[in-house]
Amino acid sequence: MRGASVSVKELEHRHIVGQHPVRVAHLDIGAGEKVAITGPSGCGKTTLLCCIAGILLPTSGEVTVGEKRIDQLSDSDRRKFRRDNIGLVFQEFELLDHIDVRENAYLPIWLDGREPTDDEEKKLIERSRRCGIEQLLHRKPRALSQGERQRAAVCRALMNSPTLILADEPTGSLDSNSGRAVLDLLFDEADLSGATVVVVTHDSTILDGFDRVVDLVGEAS
Amino acid sequence: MSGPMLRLALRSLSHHKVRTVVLALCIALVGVLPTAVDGLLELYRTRLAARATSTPLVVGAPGSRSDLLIHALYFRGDVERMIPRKVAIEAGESGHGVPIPIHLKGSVNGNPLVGTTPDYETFRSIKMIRGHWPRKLAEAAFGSKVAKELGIDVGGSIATDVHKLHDLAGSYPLLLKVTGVLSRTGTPDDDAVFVSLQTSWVVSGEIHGHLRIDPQKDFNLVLENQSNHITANAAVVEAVEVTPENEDSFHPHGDPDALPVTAILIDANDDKGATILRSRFRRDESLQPIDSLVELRELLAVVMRAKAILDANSMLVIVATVLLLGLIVTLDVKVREREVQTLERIGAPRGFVARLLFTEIAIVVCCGGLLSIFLARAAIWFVADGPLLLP
Repeated sequence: MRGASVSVKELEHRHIVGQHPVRVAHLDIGAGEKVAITGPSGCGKTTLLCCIAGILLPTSGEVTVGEKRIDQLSDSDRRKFRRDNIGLVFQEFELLDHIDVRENAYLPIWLDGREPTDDEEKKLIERSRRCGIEQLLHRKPRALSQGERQRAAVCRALMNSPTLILADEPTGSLDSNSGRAVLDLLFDEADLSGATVVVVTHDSTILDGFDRVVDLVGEAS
Repeated sequence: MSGPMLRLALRSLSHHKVRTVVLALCIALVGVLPTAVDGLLELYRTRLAARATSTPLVVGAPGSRSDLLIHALYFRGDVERMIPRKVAIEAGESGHGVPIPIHLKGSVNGNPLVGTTPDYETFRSIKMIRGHWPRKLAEAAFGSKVAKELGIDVGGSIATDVHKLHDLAGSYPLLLKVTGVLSRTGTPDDDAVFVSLQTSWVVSGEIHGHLRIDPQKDFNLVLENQSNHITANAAVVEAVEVTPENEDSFHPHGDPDALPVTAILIDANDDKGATILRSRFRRDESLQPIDSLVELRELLAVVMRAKAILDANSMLVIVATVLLLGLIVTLDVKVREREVQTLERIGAPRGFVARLLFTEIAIVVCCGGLLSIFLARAAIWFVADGPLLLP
């Protein structure tokens, strides 16, 4: 499986009329590339990530993932595209408290309205072993440490075998060791699957290992 | 609704146990009263209608028609006036049906003492668990529930209640011998004690038995001594138990045919016989025939008018509860904003979250509804067949 390329052209997104918009003139990310997007707080890193994921619709400009123009897809199609092709990791993990780790990992499949296949169940076991949470699959998120929760979140993000992994400050809630471990895990999984990785971070200590670092201050107007 | 959605909904509900249980209980408690009232009214209606259908024609003295109905069929309350037994005798002689006189004046431990004829047993198709229908003076057959409550069985005895404790003219309890126990019927017969008309008249003081008075020896007891009639005062010791020795001493004062009955049930041979008897009773101004089903419908119409007010009240409570539930759900969505946001970000299909919330609400409402039905049934059982048995 190959990763998906990402192309952003003349992107502008305005949250509220009258507010200063987020602008990105041009950004190309190659298939299978590992890119870190940095910049000061409020410069629009997360907004850019959400536009690439199709969570937010740009006010103007183009966002292309693989062959798909995300900004031209309908809301339903964007949701489906996200479910099928994109793995998301968030700073606050965003695991559901009322279901266990295994069920959290199955969420993208359940949202598709189906039960996991035997093959997918095997993949989860295998991946959870690599993530070091094989023994924690039946635990609720609240019973896990911060690092374990983020590894569970990575496990969920990889469940649909994404071609593009988007991570928003994945190490923001972790100490440096745990943060490094989670990032290495993300890279290892991406290397295995060939997925493209885009990580938004303001932490300059974790930039080793990325193919490219994009400073959004330089890109954004 | 898919399996995964149902699973997510159930996980969420079980995770928030207290909230789920409280919501389900609220719904159950709101639903239990109208459900129980509806069920009880339906049960009453069925039972009352069954009794009225099997007893289409009743005759009594003029007065409240509903009182007469309740009195004659369900052995409750009292009637203002009574009619002479000869009405029943004449009705029987007409050959159009079997009249079954009812004399309801006494009680046993608060349970109605029903004086009637053996025809009642046949008319109601009564089956005895043990023993036989009362044949002699002071014999009694007990309804199944009364027998169970009093712990009494064939061969036992029990005294009737004293209603006029301070009556100087004398009013004494009568010791009844239990000769039979009726099988359970689910009708007012279960709550009654059946005796012969004569026994009931003894209890009400229409007939009495006492020691033979010798005007020469017992001059202090004699108020008036005529050639064929002695009037004694209340100091005469009346018999409170019927024995072979005193059985013959029981006698009425006055015309035996004029002894009172509170109502007469008519087991007409056919519709024609019922119509003839009804019109005959109508011509007599001292009598009041009633059509049980018609009277019952009128009685139930009054009950239903009262129920309509209760229904309106229940509806208001339900509307208020629905509004409160709506508010709680809205607040719940706010509380679960992060969960909703996560699902949306991962790629939940359009409307998935709304359907998930709806599924959760539907499960809670269903559980509350089922609990409501269960509680209502329990309440109905408790009132209808349990300790609070009603007619």
